[in-house]
Amino acid sequence: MAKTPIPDVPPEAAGPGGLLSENIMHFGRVLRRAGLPIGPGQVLAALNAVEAVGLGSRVDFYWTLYSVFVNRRDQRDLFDQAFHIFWRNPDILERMMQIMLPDAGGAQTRCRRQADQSVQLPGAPVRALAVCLSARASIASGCRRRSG
Amino acid sequence: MTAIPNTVDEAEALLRSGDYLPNRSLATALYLSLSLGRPLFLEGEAGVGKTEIAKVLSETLGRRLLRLQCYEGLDVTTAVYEWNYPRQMVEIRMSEAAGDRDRGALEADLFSDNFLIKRPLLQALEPDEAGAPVLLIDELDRTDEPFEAFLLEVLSDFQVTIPELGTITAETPPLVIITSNRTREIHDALKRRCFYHWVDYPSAERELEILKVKAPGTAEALSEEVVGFVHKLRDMDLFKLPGVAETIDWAHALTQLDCLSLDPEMVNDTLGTLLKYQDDIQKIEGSEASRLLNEVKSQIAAAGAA
Repeated sequence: MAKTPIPDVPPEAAGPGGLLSENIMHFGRVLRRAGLPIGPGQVLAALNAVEAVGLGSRVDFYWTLYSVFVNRRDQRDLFDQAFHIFWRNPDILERMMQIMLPDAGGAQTRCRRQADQSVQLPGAPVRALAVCLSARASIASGCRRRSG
Repeated sequence: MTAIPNTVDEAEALLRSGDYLPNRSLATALYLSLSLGRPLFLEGEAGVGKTEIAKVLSETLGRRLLRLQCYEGLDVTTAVYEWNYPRQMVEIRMSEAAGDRDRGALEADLFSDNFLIKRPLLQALEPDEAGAPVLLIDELDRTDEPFEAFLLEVLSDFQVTIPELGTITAETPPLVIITSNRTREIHDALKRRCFYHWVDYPSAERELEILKVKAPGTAEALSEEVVGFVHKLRDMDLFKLPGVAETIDWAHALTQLDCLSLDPEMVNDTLGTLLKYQDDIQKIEGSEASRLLNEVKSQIAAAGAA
């Protein structure tokens, strides 16, 4: 089977530390914390897939990650929202996650204090994701371990 | 014979060359599945063209299509292989009558390739001159879980063990397409090994394009009305929504009846091609159909005026 040559990665994405692959890994972890069943195997598969498709267009990048990370119909919305937030600014989503899914040892007070900040976060998708995540967080009842 | 596509664009062009109009999402998933050698998992409502993808793929790539239609109670003897017992019995009798072989030789003969009935999964592992075949595992949700678990094993290693013959491994893995109507959830372990794609109903523009390709004889105005009407139906609460296949059938039927524009009577007469359940037909027939038709016509008129 013909293998496609590895596409030219923009310098800022490739970087010395392979920033892109790190980001894909973080994105996988974010999705996992949001409740999608994603393991290291899928993160590796996502890296291979992105390598195969290349970084020519954002649309293709979206559907590449989608075909690996999503495997149920009801995960589509969650993926969609997470994608648009994460790949615009990974930090925002990371902060959201810390607010909505505090680690087991996380102080409730900190959670409450940060929840106030979440009001300032921009954009409708962020809020939609927050609703989704807070629902999950209440189910998880704070017994999740923090990854990061 | 066409080569395996090297980019997403080529994958899209490949399906288009077989008269299948994919969206970008499907083209990406298909390209990944072909280039990384993992199964493509297609989920979606009935009649949106899941099975068609495998057929088009085998046609355009010039590969053999092997189809495993799943049903409840499907087991290894119908999916993988079976020994041809009647022939084995005859062979034993003939050998007894002739007295030409000793016991060991006879046993070796009885469990050889000649007496093996190969079913789709085993056939898919065999080398083919045209290249690895396309293996379509259709409606996987209809099998039971033990078979799903067995399939998981076959699809991860592309090998099957027959106790009497040994392990058979595919030199080049087949191109696997799995479809599910989602009557039950397929286990995550299996889906994890696949590239996932949810096949949705097409947008109105895409469905018009599909009609142009699949039912080229249909008048343009009629196509627009047909697509508009079907899209209205899909917004309604029906037991079984019409799929793309039904849209195409309906357009064909209307063309056969020399219809150039929909009218309520014609809709009532041909509703059976769109809706397959009596309850649904009764719900739409008559006043509801003419209401929907009026809406469609006024929308088309408004779009034309704008």
